[in-house]
Amino acid sequence: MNIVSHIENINELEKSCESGIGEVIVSTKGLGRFGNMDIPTIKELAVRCRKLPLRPVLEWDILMTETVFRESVEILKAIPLKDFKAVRVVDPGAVRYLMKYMPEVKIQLVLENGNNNLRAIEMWRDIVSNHIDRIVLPREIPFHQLKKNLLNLGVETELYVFGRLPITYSPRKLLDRMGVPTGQNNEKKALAGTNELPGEIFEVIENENGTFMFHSRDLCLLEHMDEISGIGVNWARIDPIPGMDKRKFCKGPFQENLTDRKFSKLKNELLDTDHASYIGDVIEVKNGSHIAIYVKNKSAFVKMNMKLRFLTPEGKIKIGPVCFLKNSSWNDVDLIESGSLAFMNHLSGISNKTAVFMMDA
Amino acid sequence: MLKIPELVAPAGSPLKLKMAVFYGADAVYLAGKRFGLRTAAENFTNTELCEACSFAHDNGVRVYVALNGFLHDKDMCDLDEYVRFLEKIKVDAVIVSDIGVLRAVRDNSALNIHLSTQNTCLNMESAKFWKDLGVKRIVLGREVSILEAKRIREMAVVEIEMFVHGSMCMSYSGNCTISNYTFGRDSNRGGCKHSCRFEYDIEWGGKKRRSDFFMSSKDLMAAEYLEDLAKAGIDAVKIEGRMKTPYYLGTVCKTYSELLCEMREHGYLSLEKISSATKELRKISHRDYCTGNLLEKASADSIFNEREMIKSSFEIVAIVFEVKIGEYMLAQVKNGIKKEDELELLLFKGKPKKVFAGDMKNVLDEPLESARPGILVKLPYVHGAGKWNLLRRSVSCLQEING
Repeated sequence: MNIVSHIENINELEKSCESGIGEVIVSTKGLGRFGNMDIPTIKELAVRCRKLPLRPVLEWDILMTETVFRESVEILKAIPLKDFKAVRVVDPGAVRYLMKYMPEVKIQLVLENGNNNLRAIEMWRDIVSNHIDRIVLPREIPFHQLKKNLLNLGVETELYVFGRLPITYSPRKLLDRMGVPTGQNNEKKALAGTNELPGEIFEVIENENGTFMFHSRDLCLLEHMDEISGIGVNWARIDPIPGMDKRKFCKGPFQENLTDRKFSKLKNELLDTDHASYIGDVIEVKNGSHIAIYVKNKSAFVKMNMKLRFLTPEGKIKIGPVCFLKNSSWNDVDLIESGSLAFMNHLSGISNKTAVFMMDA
Repeated sequence: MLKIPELVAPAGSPLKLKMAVFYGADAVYLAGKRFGLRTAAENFTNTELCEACSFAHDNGVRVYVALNGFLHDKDMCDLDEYVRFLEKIKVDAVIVSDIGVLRAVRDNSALNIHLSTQNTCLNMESAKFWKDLGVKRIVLGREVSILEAKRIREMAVVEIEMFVHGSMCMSYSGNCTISNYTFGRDSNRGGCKHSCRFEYDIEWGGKKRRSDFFMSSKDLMAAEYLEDLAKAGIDAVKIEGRMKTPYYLGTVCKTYSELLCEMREHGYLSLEKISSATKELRKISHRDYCTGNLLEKASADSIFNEREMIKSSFEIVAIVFEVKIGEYMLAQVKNGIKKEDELELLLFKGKPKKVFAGDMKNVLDEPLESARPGILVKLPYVHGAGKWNLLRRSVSCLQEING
């Protein structure tokens, strides 16, 4: 498996080469989220790479409103793209622009965010088609799924295995009003902690592109490199981490996407009313007097003497007959139809929001 | 003649659907039990979706179904069948974020496709990209200004929808994974923990700033810019909030709907109308309003540096379930009512009407001194009252809801 890494300084080139890195991601202001190199440096870097077994890739990963997009395109035009192996893009507008106006440029398609199923990845592959150099795989897919998805993808792939984890990207300048001073690379930096997540400290960086927050733990999948390589991932991205000895690490969703487990607890599945026998809901209970049912289901009704099944919000089931039936004027009736309120005899154990069903359906 | 944008309102449950329809929405967006982004909302069973479509269409309102989660492979099973079901029940469009979902919709139906704001479409090239893939309408990212939207609309020749009211993500929509990594809840599959609303301590260079809500955004309100949006050719304006209360929804729908009606009738919005609309919108729960990025890039002013509060000058007290003309309104109490309370009935159209709780009775016609939440009360009939009207009451306090 080949190694690709981000570099922030032209002087890191030779060192990168010695470390066995085969490709460097370079970023400039106006194109990259953390771009800090100017255009002359970028040009020089590309020239120096020619003499090394190292290919440069240009990063164009900012998200762009129309105004920013037009400014970015001007910057892009000033860079000799033939000296770069490919351009890495996130914004679909950038993908289209390159395919239409710079068809000779190869695209490294960054699908790291929100392309978590095979259909999505395949669709992107088909759209970018012969312009594609590589797909940068989503970060949210657990390994077992990644393994399945890569089987017949038929395109070069890359996975992020080591580095800081950006977890939010805001276009707004969130540190500006606090008086955080601007430091190196025109960035403001701060650390944020919250009582909601005790012990976790998040690095926050603000620059001309907005504000970014990083996870308190960095990603480290180095011990899984063989497995990752074994399923056919061609490139592993390993980024330098400043002050690495003091950092905490995590594996992200590599082994399991926790959402899958937690979601089942978010909803009260007991209140599933998608059934033909569903009548409606209890909206008033007066002990010893009556319960009021709003007949919701379009084809449903409540009739004298019919047997009803009640499903309480706690999941308890009660069964009872309609012994009296009244309308809201408190007149006795034989039938209450959909869209109306039915008042019937009180049954113990029933509360508001109890779902009501016909017994014999 | 000025083309008036369609008013698209959220319907997080069958009750909220009724609110949206009766209080003036032209279209509603809602979701089934799966595939959407608001899994914590009540949402609609398949049966309810069928009924929702018939009900909305009978009332001249279009239905857009949100399939806007970024799905994993295991979430995709049954999607094809579900898409065919949506076509069969004649929904007017589906809202998608995920390109894999888009493919499923295209492969299994001829349904209209709207691109969700979660996809962060921000520029003309991006709009053309999605149009080429069969997208009929794009809900632009909230980072786009009205001027930029106008250019995108003109150059990409695709329908454009923009948010005009409600909560805003601080992050580019669909690009925040704080919940994923810190709580194991995927924000792009409906599990957002709203970490951006948390209180943070910020440290830099030896300095510390305690208790800052630096990532919390004020809410969007664009009532006074509806005319600019119409002039920019924007096809639809959207209200955020499938999780919001029926009262919130009714008030916002009614207010925006009446503004759009005014524009339709007169070709412009009077200052008086705008002022009365913004007053009305301040009566509902909100986090202070701003104009987001609609006019210029959102600045420090757009940060809501306060603990989450319900800031409203009115609260819902009941929803009308039945009306007996000339006799009474039967309403379910949501917030306790006292005999001395002076209530307002929020009619579907026109000014609210006063209702006195003094003659309040239960269904057995027994007079009540007070009514607790969850019971039915009979209130004196008010001319023009209708089923699903909301009853509200003025409040002068702020209720803290979050710690």
